Amino acid sequence: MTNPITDLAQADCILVIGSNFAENHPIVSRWVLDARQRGATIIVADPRLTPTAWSADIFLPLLPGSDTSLINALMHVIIAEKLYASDFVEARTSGFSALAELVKDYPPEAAERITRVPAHLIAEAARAYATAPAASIVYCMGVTQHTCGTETVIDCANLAMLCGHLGRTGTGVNPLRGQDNVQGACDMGALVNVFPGYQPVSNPEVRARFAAAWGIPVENLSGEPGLTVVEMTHAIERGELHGMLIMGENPVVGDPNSKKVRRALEELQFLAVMEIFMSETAELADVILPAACFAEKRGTKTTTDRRVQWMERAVHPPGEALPDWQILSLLAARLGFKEAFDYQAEEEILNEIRQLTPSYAGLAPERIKESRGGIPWPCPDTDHPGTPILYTSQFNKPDGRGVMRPVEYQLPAEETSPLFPLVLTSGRVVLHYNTGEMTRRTKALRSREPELFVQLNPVTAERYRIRPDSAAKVITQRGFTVATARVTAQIPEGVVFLPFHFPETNQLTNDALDPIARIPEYKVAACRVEPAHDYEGGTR
Amino acid sequence: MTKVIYMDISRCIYCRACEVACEREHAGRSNMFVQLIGEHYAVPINCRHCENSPCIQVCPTGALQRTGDDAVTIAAMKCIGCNLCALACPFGAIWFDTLNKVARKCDLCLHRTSQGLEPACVTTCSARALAYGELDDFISEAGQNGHRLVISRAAGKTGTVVAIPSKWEALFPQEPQDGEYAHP
Repeated sequence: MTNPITDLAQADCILVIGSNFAENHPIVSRWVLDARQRGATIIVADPRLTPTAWSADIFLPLLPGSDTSLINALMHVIIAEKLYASDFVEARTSGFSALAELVKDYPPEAAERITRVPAHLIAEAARAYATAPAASIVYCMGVTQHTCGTETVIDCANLAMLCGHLGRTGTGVNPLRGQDNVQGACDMGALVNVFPGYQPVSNPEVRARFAAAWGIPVENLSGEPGLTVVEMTHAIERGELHGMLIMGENPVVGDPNSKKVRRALEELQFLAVMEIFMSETAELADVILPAACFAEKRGTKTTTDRRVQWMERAVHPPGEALPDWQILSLLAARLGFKEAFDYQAEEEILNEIRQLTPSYAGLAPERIKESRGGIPWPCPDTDHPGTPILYTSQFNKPDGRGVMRPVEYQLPAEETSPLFPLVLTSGRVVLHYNTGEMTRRTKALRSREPELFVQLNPVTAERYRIRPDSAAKVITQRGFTVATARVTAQIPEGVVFLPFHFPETNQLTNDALDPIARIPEYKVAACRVEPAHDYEGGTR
Repeated sequence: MTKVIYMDISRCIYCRACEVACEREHAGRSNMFVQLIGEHYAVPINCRHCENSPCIQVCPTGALQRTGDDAVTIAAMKCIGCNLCALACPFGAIWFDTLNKVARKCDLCLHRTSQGLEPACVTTCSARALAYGELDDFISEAGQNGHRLVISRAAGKTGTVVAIPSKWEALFPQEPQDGEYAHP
């Protein structure tokens, strides 16, 4: 996020696109509802009328995968009605004329045909966002989990720059990160192409610095990006990958086209899994290394708004379970890197991170422990107070100017066809967490949301003869599953929704990837539904 | 000053964290629930600890009583499971625990509030649809937000007050005015 979560309360307009924070980040609701009580306009663009959309003043029910068309239409209205921040555009950005040229092709009426959102609502939303003194964009996986995910994120940034809604309180482009420390994991270089602090592996100077600090020859650090998680499955299929160590991840449930993932993992010569429970993935492992859960570990976590917080251990890990860093140190010692991984405490690791990551340099353990609510990076030295709001005076580019890059609407990888006439989209529900490894084991949560369901519009349900609460079969090119039908007007005609916390959902989703970020298209697949009266296998 | 639970139903996002917190706090049995209304709204339902409590009036064994900080509570050992209280409650806030065969309802988390803590449902509410504090503060907060406040207790006593946004009033034609309701 460019701005703190609490900043949302100061916004005069909040554009929520592809985020169902009421279910997935409930705490964010507090600040958005505060803004609404202050009189802010809340705009929610989502295919479904989610609890997030309940609080919307303007609800834009778009078709899954049509986000860029919607955002371009918003910019079309803003430019046509001269509502954009010309001072900001001139002083701080580049690329305006190309953007203006492209969005000419996206009048709201044309976007209505692609998105199904009424043109007058698009115009109304555009005016509300552009004319608000401070307006914020909140987005999440509804825009990113597409083959055009990266492009859509770029388009969100275009919109914010066009209206000058960046670098001030109550503004910003705010992606909500999923897990409590996923921001920290990315900051630490748990990505295929960067070292900690987003320093590219392709840069020889960066490689030389890391090699010197770690006391290893620079040739040992590859300048080539590695494989992302879905690409690993594909590499196993091609016979290029033979062994894996999986840490706290459950790809058999969480990855798209998961039957294929299971087959691939079964083909591996060796699989080790670090887990807290016997997950569906751990069942396939040759070796399971018992890991400590969050309350059994200490160290830092980085929140979605870049605050680095210290967390102390609440209880000791059970049995032989160890914190992940200790497991890795033990593995490293067996592989002959005992000295390089000779850490005694979490603080030592943080101090090494500080040496090598400029944005974390000032985050001394004592400072974080004493701070209330943590310190937001970039924090280049120990006297620096941290940076709650990014881009207040310039952007992170050589010339300091934000680049507006025009983005064309593109079709999803899998289009509907006579055989698969419906759009299947997947997502989360409030009572479960990710692949359900923890929440499906929690009685209070499981009793409230016990099984897989499929959300259908009453018109869709009637057309395919599916009665409310009956078993329905959902079929895509990759397989089928049976789920209890929830017939509701909260979802538009022609779209069906499955939560992915249950192992069956991702057997159906498409593993087509975004060409840049390599994120799979979880949000759009072509499917059909049938009644499953005679199906005796149950829904699980 | 006496503190009350304040429910701003325009803020409820149906995450049901209050239910789960209540369940954790009360040995696995929740004393409150969130009711989905239509497909747009949700309302957390717990006991209002009414001034003239119909449940106390109908209870044949005196299991329902006022205890501690003026909360209406159930003495489970006296409850015979006749269910009259659940029938009498105008808010549907009492439910029958078929496992233990007793009526159950909100006890205002007396074990927490007596130690200066908030009730568990309030602590866990991420959207701040539930809050705990002085009634006077909530009266002014409701006024600022254009909400109508439904208060089921006399001034200066604890309980639960409910704030209803003015634009929703049509949805609740039967909602009693400031503590008034038909006596059983």
